[in-house]
Amino acid sequence: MSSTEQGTSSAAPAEPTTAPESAAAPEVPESFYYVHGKDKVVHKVSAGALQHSALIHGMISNLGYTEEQAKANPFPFENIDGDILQMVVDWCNQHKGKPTPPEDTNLPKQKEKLFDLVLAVNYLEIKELLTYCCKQVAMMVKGKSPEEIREIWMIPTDAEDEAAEKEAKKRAGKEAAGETAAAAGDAK
Amino acid sequence: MEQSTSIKTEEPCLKTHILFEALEKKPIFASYQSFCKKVGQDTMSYPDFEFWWYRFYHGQPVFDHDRSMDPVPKTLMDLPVLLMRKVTENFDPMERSVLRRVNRAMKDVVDSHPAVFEKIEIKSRLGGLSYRLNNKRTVYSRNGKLEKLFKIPGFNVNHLRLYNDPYRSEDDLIDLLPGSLTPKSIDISACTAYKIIKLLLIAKPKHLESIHIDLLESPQVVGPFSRIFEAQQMKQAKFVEVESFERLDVEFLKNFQQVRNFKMELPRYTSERDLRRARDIISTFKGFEKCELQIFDNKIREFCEAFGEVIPDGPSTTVYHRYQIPESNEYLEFSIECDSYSIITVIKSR
Repeated sequence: MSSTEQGTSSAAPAEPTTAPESAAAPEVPESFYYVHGKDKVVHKVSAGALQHSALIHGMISNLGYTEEQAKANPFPFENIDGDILQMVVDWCNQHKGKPTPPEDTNLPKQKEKLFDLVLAVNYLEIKELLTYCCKQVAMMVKGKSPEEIREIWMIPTDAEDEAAEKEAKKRAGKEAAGETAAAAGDAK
Repeated sequence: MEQSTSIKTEEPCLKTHILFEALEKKPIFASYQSFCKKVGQDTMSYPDFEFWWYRFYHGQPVFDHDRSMDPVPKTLMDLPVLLMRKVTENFDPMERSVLRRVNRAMKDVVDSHPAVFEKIEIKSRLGGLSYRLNNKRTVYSRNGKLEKLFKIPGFNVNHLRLYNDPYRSEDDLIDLLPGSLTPKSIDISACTAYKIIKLLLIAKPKHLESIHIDLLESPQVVGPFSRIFEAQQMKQAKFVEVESFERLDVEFLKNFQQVRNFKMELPRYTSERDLRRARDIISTFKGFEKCELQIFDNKIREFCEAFGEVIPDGPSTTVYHRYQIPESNEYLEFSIECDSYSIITVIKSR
């Protein structure tokens, strides 16, 4: 697991500790980059680990940052919760330079966390991890009846959906009428 | 009754129940079912139960957490459609048919996948219709289950096996199946040429690679075989195999004249004369590539005598014979492998 520290996207992070590297370190020193999520905790990740993310890999290739520039400009992912980004960074570190196994059993079992992870991984374009996550979601749905699926995943029935839509339209109509009346009042 | 009402209204009491469920480390949905059994179905919704269960499961037994500030929980339907599609890729068409009944949005996602089954076996017997999907257990089709299956948009199957019991006279199998399918292989067991043709025509010839026909009655009952072989499906398939309740004699080979590669069984009484007749018939086939003839007897002596080959002395059980097709530069390469039964392979060569 990579160690982290508090920081901001604008301020240079003060020496975050490095993620543990494999014993057989390459002769050429590896370059590192910095990322942070919503919580501003900066993660130092090797370029090798970040290769899993097509998005970050593309950013790295285009920017051509030096080590100092990378440290001063961590990649901000404000749409990703800190704990979710931590999971992603851990996964990238664990699978750095390794062929990905056919299954990953260490994914969160809690729906909320899993959904956030799916969305983050999709955004970061980590193909293999996205496949695992989607499989995990599917495994949680499999074997359940339509009623159970609706109950567990809070999915409204078509009738409920239609009623909610009607209600929303009615509310929007009332609000619009209220605004028009207020505007007319102001004009007077 | 009084106790149950108090359980339903007392929040700490409910949370204690959830705590105990979480401590048992059972799968969460099984825990919820057990919880509902104890306190009633309508006492707590699954999402609320799940929230507390996971807190307790992860060692946070704080009962008075204020959830009003928590973000609105996401649901499966909050995932973008592309991701929903990726999730549903992990389901087979039968599992997807359950998802279709969740709601319209889910149905739209599910229907964007082609519903292609690997293998379907449908049997029409005296007891009724039954089916097997992808080698899973046999299911009796009640309340239009099979019809529902065929109504899944984009329904198709790679390997289709149809069995029409000779004692069941109804055409329910024919009536039930969709008008056309594109299987790679079809395996038909039926008792009349009429039924076989009807079932065979369901498979579009363009995609069909292999046909297996099992005649469940004697040739007299089956009727005109030649009609089956007139179908485009037979002419275009890469491989055709015919089996019969009663062994078919050498003259049946004439039916294969437009088939490229085939397999059939000859009767035990096949003689040297029959083998020569088989050679003569096959040599007239224009598009012929290969065939395999099986005889449940050791016919090495008859084979050698028919084609003028030397009967092997030793343990050799394979004999070859090469025959030039009259007025042609093409040959039929025969080989016979014998044990307690014989397999004669014939390949056309130049």
